[in-house]
Amino acid sequence: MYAVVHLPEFALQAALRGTPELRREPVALVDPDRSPPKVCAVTPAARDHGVAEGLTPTQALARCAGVRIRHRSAARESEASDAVLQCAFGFSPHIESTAPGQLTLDLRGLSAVSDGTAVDLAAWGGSLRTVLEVLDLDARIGIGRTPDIARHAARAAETVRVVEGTEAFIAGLPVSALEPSTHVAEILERWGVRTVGELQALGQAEVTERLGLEALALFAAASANAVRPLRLARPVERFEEGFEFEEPVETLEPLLFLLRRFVDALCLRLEPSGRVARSVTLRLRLESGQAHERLLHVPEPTRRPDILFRMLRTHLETVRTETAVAAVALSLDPGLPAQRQFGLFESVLRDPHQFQETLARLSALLGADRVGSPVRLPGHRRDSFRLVPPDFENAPSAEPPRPDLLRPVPWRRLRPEPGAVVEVRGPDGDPLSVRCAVVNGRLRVSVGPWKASGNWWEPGAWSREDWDAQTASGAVVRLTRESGNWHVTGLLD
Amino acid sequence: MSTPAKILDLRRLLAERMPSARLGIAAPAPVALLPTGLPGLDAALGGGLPAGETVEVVGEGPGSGTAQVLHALLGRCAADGRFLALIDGADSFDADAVEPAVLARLLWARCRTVDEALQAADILLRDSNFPLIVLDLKLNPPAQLRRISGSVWHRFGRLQEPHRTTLLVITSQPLVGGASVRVRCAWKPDVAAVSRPPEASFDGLRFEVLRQVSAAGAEPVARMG
Repeated sequence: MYAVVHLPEFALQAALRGTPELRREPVALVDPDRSPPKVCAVTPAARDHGVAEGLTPTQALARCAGVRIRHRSAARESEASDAVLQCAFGFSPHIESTAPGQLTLDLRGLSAVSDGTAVDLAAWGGSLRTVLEVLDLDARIGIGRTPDIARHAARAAETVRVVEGTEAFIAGLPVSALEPSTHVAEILERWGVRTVGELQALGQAEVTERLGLEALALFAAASANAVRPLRLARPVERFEEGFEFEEPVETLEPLLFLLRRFVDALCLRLEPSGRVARSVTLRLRLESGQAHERLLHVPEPTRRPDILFRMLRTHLETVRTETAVAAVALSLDPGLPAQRQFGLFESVLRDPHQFQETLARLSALLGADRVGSPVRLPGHRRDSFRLVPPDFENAPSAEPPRPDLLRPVPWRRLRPEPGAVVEVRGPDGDPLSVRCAVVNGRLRVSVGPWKASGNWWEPGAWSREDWDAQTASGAVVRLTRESGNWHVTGLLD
Repeated sequence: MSTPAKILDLRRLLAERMPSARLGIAAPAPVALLPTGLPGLDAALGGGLPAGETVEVVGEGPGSGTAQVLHALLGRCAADGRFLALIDGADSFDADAVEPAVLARLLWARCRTVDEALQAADILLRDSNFPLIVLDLKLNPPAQLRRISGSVWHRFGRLQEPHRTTLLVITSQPLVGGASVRVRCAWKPDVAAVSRPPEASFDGLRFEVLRQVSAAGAEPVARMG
């Protein structure tokens, strides 16, 4: 058995993905590559208003002022083709991309439908159709004994059609289903031959004698047993959805609404291949022409739409753009699911996705440079570090401190370092008293200077002297002199 | 149903809904304890920080030893293979005093004001990944601390319940109304302490339990450690 997925008015359907409600509105699809641009497809509502293929956009608007003009896009059609192929791959591994908007599936060997009744086959076709509906695609499914019969069934179907009595089905088809040339169609029309059954009744040899070789092709297309080998296609590993807004959007809600649909569709496309999303790339094109692009790494690769959408929402809540958003695109980087053996006593994150979201919220609150795990910078300048995103999953084991290694006592750092007025004994003598916003008074003890310098070979050269001192009130402070200026840099607490 | 039975039922219902509320009803299970890495503090607390509770460490004035408590706790968490979230209210954490392997197990939120720190705590307490969160408000100005509404701590308590998160708040004065445990930390360092290893400082820390609401809802206790 074979199944054919037929997407009527494929170019129009591809253009209207993301806005399925427009299928009920008068819409005309214009092919901009034609000169002059002309309407190449219309919705039923537009046709009711007299808009038809071949009209120019101006003529279409003259016939129906409310008709929406959409431009045909090869990229959108390519995206739709990829999506259909990826989803169909979950139903059969043997797929032929027969034509734009038409796939042929070989059902032989599939446990779901082998030796199945017409009801089983119809249910199978219905489930395929339901999946494609999530992608905003309205498909017709035909199932028959040969690829051609399945194709005829798909074209004749309202939703799903399973051909049981093949000969009777073929006989009842209109001759136009065999796609004869205009010349031959006119001859058959004059003969009064309207169905395939009437054509077959004339006899293949007799018709071929009168119409030539094309008649042979017509009879072959009407054959109930002719099975041709399929040109198998593999789904491409490109998972991208995009949309261009008719009116640029300024608020988050419409963007999130669209992104939720994208995420659902992309996760559905990922499923048949057993892949998961390793990262998500969000691209926004602004009305001003600027672009906003953000790569979001998925901490625990997944194809759960809720998690991916939550990441996007958390990110977008922190994004402020100068102008409205004109277009949005979302792509997933597919990868294999992570396989990991958890240790018996190992502590790992309970919910890596939630952790990533928490980091994003903290970064939005404090700034990305103020949240993370500290990593000391090379060199021996004090209080020199940068924050990196935490990687607790791969954090090295912390060994107990070695008693033979000298380790510094923890201070409380004062950031920014408050300036201080320090009275010293002589030009380079010991500090005697300190006066600043944090600590004041005479110093009971002062120890130092501890001199340090670095980067003398480059513009960022530094040199400083540290003194550890205790005030009369008992506070132990670290005083630092750099470039002749005194600061209080730490409190022992 | 008699009136005492109704009251008991009501108490039981409240205990189920609000585990942190103590109504004279025994807790259903013993509270897990998180060791702090400081023998003195663990002894004062009866073994460690009670999981899922709010603990306040009060260090009055400079040299109270709260930074030593924080670093000891971080080291202990890392040694146990756990990780710690630090909300640094005045951006005063000393990263130079910590081993890189320990720093890799720290999430440090560097705040500038009390408001930022409280918002960061609100975000982190909603995350189920951190069994222990430290909110360090020691160096924040007392005027800012006094403006913290009491309802903040109540909200934090509600956020702690689902994930049994332990919140350790370091302050310069008693502040946290709903703290299950309040400990005063004292230390008298001198300049020589700078050149001694940190473990020597730990021995000099003194802890006094100002308030401890036991799991069984007993009266607050005071104990020295």
